[in-house]
Amino acid sequence: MSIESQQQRYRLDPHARFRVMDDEGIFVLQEAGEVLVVNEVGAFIVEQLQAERSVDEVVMAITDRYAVDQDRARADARSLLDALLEAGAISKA
Amino acid sequence: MSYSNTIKRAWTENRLMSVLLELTYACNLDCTFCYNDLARAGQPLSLDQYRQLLDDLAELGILSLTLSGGEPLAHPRFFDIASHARSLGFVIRLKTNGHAVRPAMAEKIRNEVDPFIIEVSVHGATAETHDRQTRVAGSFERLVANIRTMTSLGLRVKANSVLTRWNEHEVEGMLTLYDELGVLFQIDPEVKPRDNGDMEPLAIEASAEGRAQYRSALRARAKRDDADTDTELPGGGPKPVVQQTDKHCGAGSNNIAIDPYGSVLPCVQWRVPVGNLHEQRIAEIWSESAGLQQVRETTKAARRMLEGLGDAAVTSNFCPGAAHVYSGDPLALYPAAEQGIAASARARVRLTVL
Repeated sequence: MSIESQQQRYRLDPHARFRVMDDEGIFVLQEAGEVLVVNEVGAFIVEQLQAERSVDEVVMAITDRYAVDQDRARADARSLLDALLEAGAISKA
Repeated sequence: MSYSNTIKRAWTENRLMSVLLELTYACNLDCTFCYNDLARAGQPLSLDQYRQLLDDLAELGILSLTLSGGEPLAHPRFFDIASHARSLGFVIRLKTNGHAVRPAMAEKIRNEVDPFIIEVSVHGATAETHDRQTRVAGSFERLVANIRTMTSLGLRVKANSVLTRWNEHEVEGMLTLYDELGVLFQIDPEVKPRDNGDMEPLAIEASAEGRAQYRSALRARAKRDDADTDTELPGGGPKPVVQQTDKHCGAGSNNIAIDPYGSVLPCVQWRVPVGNLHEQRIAEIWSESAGLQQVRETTKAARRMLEGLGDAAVTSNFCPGAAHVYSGDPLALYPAAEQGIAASARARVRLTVL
């Protein structure tokens, strides 16, 4: 992964809606008419994106909050971001 | 993780997910079986109160917001309210009769509201039947044209219909019309009393033969489309959420309705106020209303009552709100519920035989 991509910021797609409910996050993809539910960590990551944090900053936030090392946090964040990008839930800012 | 599990948790843990706002009872049509209590009066919520309410609902994490009426587009500040809702990230469902959604209006709705879906009321497959219901000549032709406009703009449209004695002979035609228009649909087989208990609308409820033909038409459609429609067969299948909770429905547990005068209701059909926004903020009502607690207990009691009547009753169309309108007792069976339970039982027998 390039240095540049670690500074990348993402935002909710304009047609996506997102809410955190307790320990999970719910995406409604308006154009596709689909719902995605992410777990607590996923919801936390999306909240970081909404706060306009870069991938690096998101990874730091994960390691600050959860007992995981940076490599694991980065891999999990990347995996979620790729899935959300593919679903059309987020896009590059 | 699954969305049905999320809904189950919302029911069980009383997490408010969905709110329906009746913005006004004003309407540009004059439907014979309109369920609104048009004589009801009070102090309407102001624009500032709606903005406060929407801010509070966003703070509570509410996902889904339905804008309804009467005719919501008849509210003079509709776009102020709806665009504020959009800015707060709600999934917006607009329930309208569609009469005012001419091309310019449809475009404004798309651009300023960006609804997830627009639900329009269709009362038949022909102008004669639809206009008889709306009591406005030309309303059918105008609605069909407006639906075409909405879909051409990329808006998702769903046709809501109620089966009546007047349109029961047109079910096949209505299904064909929905296909041709490319819209989702839902046909409610049950005409309900007015919110004030007036039973007059029941005079045009569908006949037993009409309901049987409707079920037959939907079964044929489901078979053809491999059940890929937005319409559930009455009693035709299990409701996973229902089977996993101790409540019959989510009234007052994951959804509420709010009338134009600020009354907070357990749901759009259960017209027993549990608080009023002129007196309390919504978060306070949600967490402290004794009336809501009672409603939640009643939905549990309804579940136990229906379980006592068998599986067919559990998956039937029984509605505590409708029961309350019929008799004042949210646990009392009413004619349409008894018919629904019987239909559900027949469907189960058929599934067993098959």
